[in-house]
Amino acid sequence: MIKHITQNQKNYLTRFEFILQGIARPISKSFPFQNISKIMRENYAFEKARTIVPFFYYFMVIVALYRILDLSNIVNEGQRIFAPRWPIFWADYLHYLTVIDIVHVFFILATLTGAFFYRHRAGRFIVFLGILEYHALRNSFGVTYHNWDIWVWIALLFIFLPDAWGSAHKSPRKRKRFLLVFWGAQAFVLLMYSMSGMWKIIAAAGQYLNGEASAVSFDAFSLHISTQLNILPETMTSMLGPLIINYPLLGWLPLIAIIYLQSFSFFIAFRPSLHSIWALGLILFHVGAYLTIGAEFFQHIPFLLFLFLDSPFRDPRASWRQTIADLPIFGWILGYLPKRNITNAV
Amino acid sequence: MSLSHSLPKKLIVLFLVFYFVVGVYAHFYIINQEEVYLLYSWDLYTKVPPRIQTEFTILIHEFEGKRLENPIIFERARGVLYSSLTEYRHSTYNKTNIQNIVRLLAPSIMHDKTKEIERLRMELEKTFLSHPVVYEVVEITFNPIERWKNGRFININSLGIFTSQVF
Repeated sequence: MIKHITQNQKNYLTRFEFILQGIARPISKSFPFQNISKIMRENYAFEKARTIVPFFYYFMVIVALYRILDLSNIVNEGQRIFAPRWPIFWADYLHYLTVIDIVHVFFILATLTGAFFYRHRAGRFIVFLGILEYHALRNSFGVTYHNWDIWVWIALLFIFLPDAWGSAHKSPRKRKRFLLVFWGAQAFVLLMYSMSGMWKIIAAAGQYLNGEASAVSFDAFSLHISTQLNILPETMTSMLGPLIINYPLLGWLPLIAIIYLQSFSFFIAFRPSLHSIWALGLILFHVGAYLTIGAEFFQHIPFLLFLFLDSPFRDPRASWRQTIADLPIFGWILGYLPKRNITNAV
Repeated sequence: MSLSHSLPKKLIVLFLVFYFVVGVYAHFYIINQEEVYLLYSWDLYTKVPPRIQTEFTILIHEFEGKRLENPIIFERARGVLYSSLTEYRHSTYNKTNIQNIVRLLAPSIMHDKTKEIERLRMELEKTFLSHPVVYEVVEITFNPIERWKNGRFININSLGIFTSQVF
C-alpha cells in the first residue's frame, strides 16, 4: 500500500506524524511512574512522606470532634427520611438516636485509635471504618454529600502503607511501596479535580457549538453566581458574588483559570515541581468558590496541604525555570520555541 | 525488584482507572437516580446556566390567615414562614429535598395525577409548610442576573393554588 502513495500524500503523512509526535511527546514524557520511579529512589522523599502521614490521623481527631457540632442538624433531620446506606446496615435494628450516638462515638474513638496507632495497619483500618460509618450516616437522608468522600478513600488507601515506620523496617522495597501508596493518594485527589475539569471542557464545547452561553462567554461566571445566589438561603451571603455579577469581565479569567487548574490536575501528579503551586491554586479555587457561589468544599483543603504543599516528591533544588517548563500547555509551548528558532536559523 | 513491575503499582493504577471509569459511567447513566455510593463523577457546576431559565417553585400568598400584599417566593420567605432561626435552618438543611419535591409536584399537577399530587403535597406540607399557608405552585421564567439584581421574572405561570393542611 505504502509503495503506491503519491509525493503529496507523503508530505501529508510527514506533517501528520509531526503533529502526532508533538502531541505524544508531552504525554509519553509524563507517562505514569517514569518520573516518579526516579524520584522515589531518594531517601529524603521517604522520610518526608513518613513525617506527613501521621498528620492525617492527628487531624482526623479534630474532624471527628467537630462533627459533634453537626449533631443537632442530623437529629432534626429525623427518622422519617432516614434511609441507611449499606455501611450502616445494622441501623435497621436499633433506634434512630442510638444509631447517631454509636456512629459519632465510634468515629471519635476510631480517630483517637488512629492518632496513637497509625503505625499499625489495624489502627489505620479502624480509622477507615470510623470515617466510613460517619460518611454513611451523613448520606442517609436522601441527599448525597460528596464533601467527605475524599476522607474515606484516603483512609482506605493509607491502610495499604507498608510497615516502614521503625528504623529496622526501612528496606528499599518498603520505602518504595510506602511512597507508592502516598503517591496513589496524591494521584487520587488530583484525579477528582481532573474529572471535574474534564466535564467542564466537554460542556463548554457542547454549549459553544450550540450557540449557548458557555465557559468562554464573558458573562459565564456571573451567570453561575447569579443562578446560585437566587437559590441560596437568604442567610448565606456571597462576599465577591455581587462584584462579579455587576462586572462580569472580572470573572472571565478566573473561570478559565479554574478550568485549566482542574483539568490538568492529574497531569500534575507526574510533575512534582508543580505540586505546591497547584495545591495553592486549588486552595484558592475552593476559597473563591465559597466567596462567590457559596460552594463549600473545605474538606478537601487539608489534603491539598498535607499531600502537596511540601510534597515529598518535589526536588528542593528544582529551579523556577524547571517549574515553568513543567506547566501544562505553557511549558510545552516554551519547550518548543527555542527548537523552532534553531531550526529556522539552520 | 523493579518498581515498574510491582504489584502495588498495578493495583494503584487499577484503582485510579476503576474510579474514573465508574465516575464516567455514573455521569451518563445514573442521572436523577440513585448514585453509586462513594463513587462520583465530580460533575459539579459543569454547564454554564442559560441566560433565560425556567424552573418550578412555590409562592407564599397567605400565612396563618394573613394575606401577604406581594406573594413571596419560598427561598425568600424566611421572615414569614419561620419564627425561629433553628426552624429555618432545619428547613434550609432540607433545601435540596424541597426542590426535588416541587420538581415532581409541578409536572404531576400539569398532568392531573391526583394521587401523586396528594402524596407530594403531604410530603411538602408536612416538612416545610407546617403552619397554615396558602401557596401557589408556579413555573417561572427569568434571566438569573436580572432576577438577582431586581427580583424580576420574565413570566410566572400558575399551576395551582393550595392551602396547607396542619399535620
